[in-house]
Amino acid sequence: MQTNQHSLPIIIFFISTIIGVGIVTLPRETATIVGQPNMWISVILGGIVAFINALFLFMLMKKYPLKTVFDIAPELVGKWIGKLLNLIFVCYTIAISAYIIRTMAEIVNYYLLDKTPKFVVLLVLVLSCMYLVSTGLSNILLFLQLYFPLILLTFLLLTLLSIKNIEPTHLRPILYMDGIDLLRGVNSTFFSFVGYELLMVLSGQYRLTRWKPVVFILGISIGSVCFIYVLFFILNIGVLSIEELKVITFPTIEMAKAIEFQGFFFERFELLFLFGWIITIFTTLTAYYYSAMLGVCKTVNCKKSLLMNAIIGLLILTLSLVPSGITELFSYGTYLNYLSYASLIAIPLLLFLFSFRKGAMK
Amino acid sequence: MKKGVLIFFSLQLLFLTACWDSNEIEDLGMIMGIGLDYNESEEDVFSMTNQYVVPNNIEGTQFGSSGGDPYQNITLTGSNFFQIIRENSLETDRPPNYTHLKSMVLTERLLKEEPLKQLISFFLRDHEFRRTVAVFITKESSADILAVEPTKEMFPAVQLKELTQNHDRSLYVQDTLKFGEVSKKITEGASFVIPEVGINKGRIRLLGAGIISDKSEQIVGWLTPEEIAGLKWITNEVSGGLVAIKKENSEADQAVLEIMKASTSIEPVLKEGQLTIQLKVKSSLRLAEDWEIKRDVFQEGWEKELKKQGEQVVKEEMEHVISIAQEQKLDYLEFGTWTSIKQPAYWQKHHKDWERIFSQLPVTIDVDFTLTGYGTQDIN
Repeated sequence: MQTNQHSLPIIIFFISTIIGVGIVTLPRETATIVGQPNMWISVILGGIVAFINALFLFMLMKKYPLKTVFDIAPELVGKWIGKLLNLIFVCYTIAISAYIIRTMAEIVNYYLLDKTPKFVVLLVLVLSCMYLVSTGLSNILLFLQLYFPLILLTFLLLTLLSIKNIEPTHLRPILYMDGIDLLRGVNSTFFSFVGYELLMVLSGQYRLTRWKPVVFILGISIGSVCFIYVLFFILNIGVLSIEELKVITFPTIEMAKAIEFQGFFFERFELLFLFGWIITIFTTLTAYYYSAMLGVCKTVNCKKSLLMNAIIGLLILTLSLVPSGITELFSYGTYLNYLSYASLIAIPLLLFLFSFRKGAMK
Repeated sequence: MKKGVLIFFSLQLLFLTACWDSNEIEDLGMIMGIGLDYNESEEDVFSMTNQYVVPNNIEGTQFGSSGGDPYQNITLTGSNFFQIIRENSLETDRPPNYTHLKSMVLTERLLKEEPLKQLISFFLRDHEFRRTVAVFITKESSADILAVEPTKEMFPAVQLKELTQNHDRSLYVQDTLKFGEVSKKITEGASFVIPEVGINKGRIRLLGAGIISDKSEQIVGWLTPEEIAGLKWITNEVSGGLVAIKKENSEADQAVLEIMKASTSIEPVLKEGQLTIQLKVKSSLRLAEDWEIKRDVFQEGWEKELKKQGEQVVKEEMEHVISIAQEQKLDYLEFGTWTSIKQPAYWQKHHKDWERIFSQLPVTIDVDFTLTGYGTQDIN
């Protein structure tokens, strides 16, 4: 089973990359847009859109085996425009890294360490990530496999402990829905699936040319993330109710706070959940960090050096410290969505169109 | 090479300097309960009682001595709660920590003056407060409630919270109203009831409940324990308790039935544009106490009379509560929630007008009892 040996690390890579901030903030974002108990349908729709988009990316990369998006862009649209496109993609990966670690820092600051400066929290995270990235992709994949069970265990524990807090009335009515609102919700749920676009980076290491294994990998990865999101949506709505979701900053953590043990000191489960969740942030950061570094190196034709690594790290760190507060941070999220549109849809579409012209010329 | 290793290890020291936010657990002023109250004075309108744990007075611990209470109540006044909390530092060396808070007592005076939403906004904003804190209301002063010597527990605040755990033993006890639930009710814009506590002969006692209006978010009325029973029947919260058939209501002597199982279904039915609520109670009970000598439980059909009388008792209790709620035009019976679930199209159109609709809503009640047994022996 040659395909399975290859696909498991890649599946884990995708799942670890996709799951990040969304699991904590998405329920609120979607509740404000959709605002009905069946808004988890939006998540499924968002997952389907993401899957279709991922297949499209694969169609593009399939033509160029063992090449990344950074390699093919200069080839297809000319050296300088290609480099510009690469730069946009790199900007996107750096921006998304900065955004997620800043959100993490805010949460850590709220719930765990209220005296530690955010800078220190972020520095520790970026430094350890820098170290991991400098050791190369194969080690990153190993690391992700090592921590993947821990992440799943945290999620499983949270699910099991929250189930008894669910009030079924909050989830009803199920069949009465406003279709247009659900579709509008896709706009926000779709972005919680970003991470699969790193297929365009992974393709440099793995020979991903056949449909069957890639559809399998993408299907399993996006499918399981979708399942986890839907599960967490149902838990969140069931425990907190829609109206409450609209006003809670970090719903999933509040949901963890609603867990009660009959005891004295074992009642702060949200802390345990946070430890597991920070790892998911770290894995997401690692994946984007690696892509950013690869992108820069391919664009300016330099070796992957410690200096380059440090520069990227510094960029991420500085950018993450730009927003002054949480409201500003969330408003930056909207700009980030535009960058996502550019890197996920516009750039690949452009390259795809040019790939036909090139082919015709040959 | 050796030098490199040495530098590496020295650098590690930078990261091993322990936690920036470290807080010794001995230095925390753990708070078990808080009580909020309203003062008549001009400036410092609020008062807040914090119930601290005094670890040294807990028996059985390392330094524990049997003298003194294991808790200390500090009541301070101020114009806002955060200020009061910070003022605690003037009197106690341990900063208050609310992560293990058990209960919160509000007073009638407070809720007559201030809307609940603004009152609790600080406690919702702060991350230390848990959503599982039990909320109570009292007609006395909240400081008095928290000062009542606990009988079985170590802390008054814990005893308070544990009281509502008996909701499956008595119809008069509501399930714990958690802080998170209060927040939910407020964001949903619903009326609800808060369990009431009082002091009875030096002991703490659960009484009825205070009604919070969805419009003013203040206290607008009270329910007696008997009315709590009716409310629990309506909202499908009965999980135990008893139905007493009084002597006056029947030809025979009094009898008491124990509830084994109970469920209520709320069905909003729409017929020709007119909404009707159908309540169907199903319950299985057991004869627990019988004062009637003539009853022969070995004779078939012994339960028929009891069943009918018991059903009547519950039906009257429910009707009474519904009439109160409709008179007040406050839907704490969850009829609105069920209408929005079962008749979403109707709700979409009429929810703005719900107050008026609710007050005139026809309600049909159908109680169905099954008497399953009479216990281990029938001495009569």
